[in-house]
Amino acid sequence: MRNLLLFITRYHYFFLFILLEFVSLFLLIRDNYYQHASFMNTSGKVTGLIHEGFSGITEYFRLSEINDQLLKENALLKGQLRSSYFQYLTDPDTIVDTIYKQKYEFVIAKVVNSTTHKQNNYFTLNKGKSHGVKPGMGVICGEGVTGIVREVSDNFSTVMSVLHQKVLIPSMVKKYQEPGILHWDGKDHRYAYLPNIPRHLKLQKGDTIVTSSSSAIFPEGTLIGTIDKIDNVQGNTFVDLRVLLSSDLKKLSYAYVVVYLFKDEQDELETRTQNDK
Amino acid sequence: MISEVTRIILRFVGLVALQVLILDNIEISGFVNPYFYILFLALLPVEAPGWLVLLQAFVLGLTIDMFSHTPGMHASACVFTGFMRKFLLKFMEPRDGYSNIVTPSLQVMGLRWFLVYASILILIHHFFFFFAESFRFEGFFHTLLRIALSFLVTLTLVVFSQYFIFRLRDK
Repeated sequence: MRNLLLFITRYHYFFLFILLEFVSLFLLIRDNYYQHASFMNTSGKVTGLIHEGFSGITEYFRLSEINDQLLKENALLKGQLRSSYFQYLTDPDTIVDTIYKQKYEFVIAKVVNSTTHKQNNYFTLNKGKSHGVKPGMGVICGEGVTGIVREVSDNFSTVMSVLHQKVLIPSMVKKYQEPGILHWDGKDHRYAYLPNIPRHLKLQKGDTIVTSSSSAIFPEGTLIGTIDKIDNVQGNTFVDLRVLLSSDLKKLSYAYVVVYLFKDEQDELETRTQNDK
Repeated sequence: MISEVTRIILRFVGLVALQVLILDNIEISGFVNPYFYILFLALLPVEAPGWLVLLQAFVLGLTIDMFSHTPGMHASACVFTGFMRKFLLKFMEPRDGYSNIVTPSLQVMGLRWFLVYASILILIHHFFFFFAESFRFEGFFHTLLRIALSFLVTLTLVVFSQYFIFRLRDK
């Protein structure tokens, strides 16, 4: 014991360094989800590659089976085409009176502090808890999507902007309703990326990208940007899109916080379903 | 006369304020993010005990982290820089030692010594920080370019600041 204490006091400099470095790295990894994710990812990448290679081989042996399945499915779908139906009824179109219920509210806020030059950017809004802003709400501006609320105080809220590598926005190509997940790569504040869009779609430079309905924090169809470059890797079935963001985050001065009015109802229902396993 | 301790505390507050209020808000481009606050570590007394330097580096890093939503990122880089500083000082010790030298500043140690000292210290910090920030080796050269450009700007700021303070004391 005495020797151990002597040892520690003798090299206290080194031990203190290890201790402090450990504490900081712990903070870094715990708090930052992105860092956390990439910590886990290397293993996932390797196993993913192995899986992919293996299924590429086994698929050949099942080709005839798959063919049969596809033919059956084709027949079924053809049967459902409108042209295969005979119209019996001739009654006029009924007018269904729909009562619209408001789904979204918008809180207007002023941007009081923002960055765009870091790897993960934030901005601060002058509206907070007392104005109904809660963490997780979407933030948009006149030109399009700008971020997601991270933390709120009574009168302020910090927002992870689209230029934050942790922010993933469910989006789609408007023309084809083709969904994907938009993210930022930490380089140029004007561009974000939308990977894995099927190659067969006839995409053009300038096509609009909007939010999809799979996440309700933004109203469906809110503008995100336009396609700026289509990354065509030869032999790949998917293309990666570079998206020119429609909102200039450098010049952002006002923004709207999107309050999704059915959020509580939806959350409650979803957790109830999950607990019911 | 202000004592050495008060001077260090004032320097701490001043540099943190300068960093988070001004430098972090200047957006020259995504490639240039000067971290001038590292001057604080460079100017700590030569004779300061190692553990104290480490603790001060940790507190400095955490303070900057709190302002920039990056828990642990600056702290880890600062602690590492503080750790390496001891060896750097030993390595660069003048022939007759650091006798009578309290602060290893430019006007005391001379331009050449200070330039080498500050460059190595800033490089250590920037290397650690920028790789901790991107946390991957993909885009290695992109990160390297960011380090190089930010390093140049930080070094320029550090050296100029020394001349500025020198002038003020002259008067």
